[in-house]
Amino acid sequence: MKPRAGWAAPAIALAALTACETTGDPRQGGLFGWSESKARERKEQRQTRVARAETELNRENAQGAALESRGETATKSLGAAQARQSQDEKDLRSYEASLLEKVDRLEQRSPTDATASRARVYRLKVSNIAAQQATPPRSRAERLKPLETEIDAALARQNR
Amino acid sequence: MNSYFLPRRVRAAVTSTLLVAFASCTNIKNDSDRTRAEGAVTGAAAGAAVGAGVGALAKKNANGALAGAAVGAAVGTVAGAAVGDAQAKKKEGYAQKESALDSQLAGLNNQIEGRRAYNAKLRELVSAKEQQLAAVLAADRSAGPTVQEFDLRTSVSSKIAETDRAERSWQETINAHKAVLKGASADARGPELEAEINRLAEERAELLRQRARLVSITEKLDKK
Repeated sequence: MKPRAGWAAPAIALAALTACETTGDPRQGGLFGWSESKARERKEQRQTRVARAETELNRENAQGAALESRGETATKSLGAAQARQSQDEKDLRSYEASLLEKVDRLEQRSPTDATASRARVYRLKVSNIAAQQATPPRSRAERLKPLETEIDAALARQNR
Repeated sequence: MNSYFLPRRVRAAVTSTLLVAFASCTNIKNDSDRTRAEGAVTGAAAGAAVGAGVGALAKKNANGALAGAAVGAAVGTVAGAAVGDAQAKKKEGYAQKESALDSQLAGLNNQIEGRRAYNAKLRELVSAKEQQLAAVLAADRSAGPTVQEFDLRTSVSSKIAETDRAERSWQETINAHKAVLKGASADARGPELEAEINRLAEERAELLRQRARLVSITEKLDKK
C-alpha cells in the first residue's frame, strides 16, 4: 500500500484541478472549470429568448399593420361622412334660401295683414328649422317639406 | 529503487506543478490564455508523470525516471497546449455565438419597444378618429327634436317677438299718457289718467312676466 500512497498527493492535486465547479460561460472557467454542455444550454436559452423576441416583434408588427389599416378606414369613412354632412348642409342652405324667397313673395303679395302675418310666421318657422344644428341637415330638410307645401298652397291661393 | 514507484523528488515536482498550475492559471484574466496555459501545464505535468513512470520502468533507476519526466514534460506541454488551444477556440466560438445572440436580442428588444410605443400612439389616434366618426354618424342618424318640439319652439319664438312688440307699444302709450298728464296737471281728469297709466304699467309688467315664462320654456327645450 505504501507505494500507492506516494501518488496520493499528485492525484489529489489533479482531482482538485479537474473537479471544481464548472460554468457554461465561455469567457470563464479555463480548461477545467468550463462545461460544454452547460455552454450549449446557455446558447439554447439565448436562442429561445431571441425566438420569443422575434415572435413578439412579429406580433407587434401585425398589430401595427392592423391599426394602420383601421386608421385608414376610419380616416376615409370620416372624410366621407364629413363631406356628406357638408354637402347636405349646403343643400339645406339653398333649400332654405328658396323657401325664404317664396315667403318674401307671399308677404309682398299679401292682400291682408293677417296673410302677411302668416307669411312672417312661415319665415320664422323656416329659419328656426334650418338653424337646428343638433338635427342632421337631411332631417331638417325633411321637416321643411310640409312647410313648403303649405307655402306653395298659400301662393297658389294668392294667384287665384 | 523499486520500479513501481518514483523518487520523492519526481512526485513532489508533479504535485507542486499541478498545485501551481491550479493556483496561477485561475489568475489569468483572459480566459483563452488561461485555457491554453492550463492545457500546457496539465499536459506538462501529466507528461512528466507518465514519462517518469516509463523512464523508471525502462532504466530501473532514478536518473531514468528523471530523464523520462523531462521528455514526458516536453511532449506533454506540446500536446496539452494543442488541447488547450483547441478548447480555447471552441470556447471562443461559443463566446462569439453568445455575443451575436445577445446583440440580436438587444436589437430585437429595441425594435419591440419602438414598435410598442408607435402602436400605442397609433392606437390613441385611431381611437380618437373612430370616436369622431361615431359622433358624426350618430349625428347623422339622430332624429333631433320632434316635429312637436319644432312647432313649440316656433310658436314660442313667435310669441316672444309678439310680446316684445306689444311691450314696446304699451311703453310708448304709457310714455304718451305721462306726457299728457305732465302738461295738464290741473285737469280734472288727471287722477283718472294717472290710474290708467298705473293700469297700463301693471299690464306691461304682466306682459314681461309672460315673456319670462316663454323664455324659460325655450331654455328648457335647449337643455333637453
